[in-house]
Amino acid sequence: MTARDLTYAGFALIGLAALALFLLSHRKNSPIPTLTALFGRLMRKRTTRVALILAWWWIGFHFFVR
Amino acid sequence: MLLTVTGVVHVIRGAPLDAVIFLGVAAALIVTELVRPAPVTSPQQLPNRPLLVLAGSVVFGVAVGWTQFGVFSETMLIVVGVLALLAVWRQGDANPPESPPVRWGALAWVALALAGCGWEVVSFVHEVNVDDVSIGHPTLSDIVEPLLSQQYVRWIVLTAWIAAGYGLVRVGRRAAG
Repeated sequence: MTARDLTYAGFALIGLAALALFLLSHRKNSPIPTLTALFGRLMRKRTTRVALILAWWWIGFHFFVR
Repeated sequence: MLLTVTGVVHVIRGAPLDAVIFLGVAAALIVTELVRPAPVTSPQQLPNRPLLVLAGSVVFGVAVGWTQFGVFSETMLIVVGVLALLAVWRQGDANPPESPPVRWGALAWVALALAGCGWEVVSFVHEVNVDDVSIGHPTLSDIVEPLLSQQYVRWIVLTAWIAAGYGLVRVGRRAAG
């Protein structure tokens, strides 16, 4: 396995873990909060609200414009 | 604090525009917090119409992402960013500031985010700065950018991005209320 393959495998693993968490969070009585609940909790403060929106926008700007 | 750190990281990695964006927003946020205008107690909520949002996102994705990016597309992205920031900026902290306790399961999301950021940093540090990405550790940008050069992938991802942004703004405005 090359270094490149290892890097791809790492990103794939993280993607699969995200998908698993997403599915688990939508099960009844799951201890894992949904992303909506998590962001809702974080965004009660203006600073984190602005920071999260900026992070979302920058990802788009970085990948599409640059 | 986090925005300032991110801005400094962009300075270190030689991305002055990104640094200006993050440090500029951090400075504006500090000024706003110092002035602390009266929070809007009942911000107007954005409608939850999944089909309408999907349709709007697809139209945006096609209009902006169908061809290679140019002045129009870049301007549209900047306009969307400014509008999104304004939409969540005007509300103060939620009232009451106390919120329900975080469930332990939230740590799983935190761990995943840290793992993702950590893996990207490792890839960035070990990235071989040559044209041939078959050697070394490609960063997420190295992997995603060739995919985004394809028309269909570009507009699908752009559609998902704008829909996610709408959802984030909606959740943010609801949280502030």
